[in-house]
Amino acid sequence: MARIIPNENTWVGFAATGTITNIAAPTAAQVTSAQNLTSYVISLNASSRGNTVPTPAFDTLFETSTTGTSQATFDIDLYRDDTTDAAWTLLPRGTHGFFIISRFGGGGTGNKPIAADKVEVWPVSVTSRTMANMSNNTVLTFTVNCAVNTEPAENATVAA
Amino acid sequence: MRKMVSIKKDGVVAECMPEAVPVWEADGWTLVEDGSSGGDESDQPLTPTEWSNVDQTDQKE
Repeated sequence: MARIIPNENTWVGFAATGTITNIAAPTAAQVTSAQNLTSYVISLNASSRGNTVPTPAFDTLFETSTTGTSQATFDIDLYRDDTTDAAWTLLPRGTHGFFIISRFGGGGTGNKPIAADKVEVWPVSVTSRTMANMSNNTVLTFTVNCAVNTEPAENATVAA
Repeated sequence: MRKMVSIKKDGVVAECMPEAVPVWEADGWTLVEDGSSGGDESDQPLTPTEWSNVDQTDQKE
């Protein structure tokens, strides 16, 4: 057990819509078919949050609550590249697909997840792809904002 | 809503945006040219002749 940083550990890929049939158990071949975006990623925010619904009543001073709906957001910051601009080209507005995240990295080449590795699978649609503000002495980057179409698999296991 | 196009690799058919095709092709995917996806004729821009034949009744009202 160790506390690690994402650099040289985390693997991030994007699979085209139609390739992953079971987000809770993507196959190793499906992960392999994804585009490896790891070298373009600066940061990503894949998070979910739930709502609690207050249920107070007159018979108690304790403010009770119950579970409500939940939602998720997915935003990712990436580099532009004047030679191989794969991330920018891959993710125009309207793109549907799956982000695959292996936070601790997988057992394959370049930390690619293989069978039995844990991954997150986020079914998304790109709602915006926008350049970061351009300024002196700053690398060109862009941000992709996504809608999360269905409940993400945050503890998926790669199948053989 | 812009339409995605079909791409294929190892018997798997997926979809991507038209401008993303080169990225997928570099990874071994091929564009499916059967016209089953990627937009129909109604998505194509009208030619000048077609424009002149458009019924503009609604715009004049």
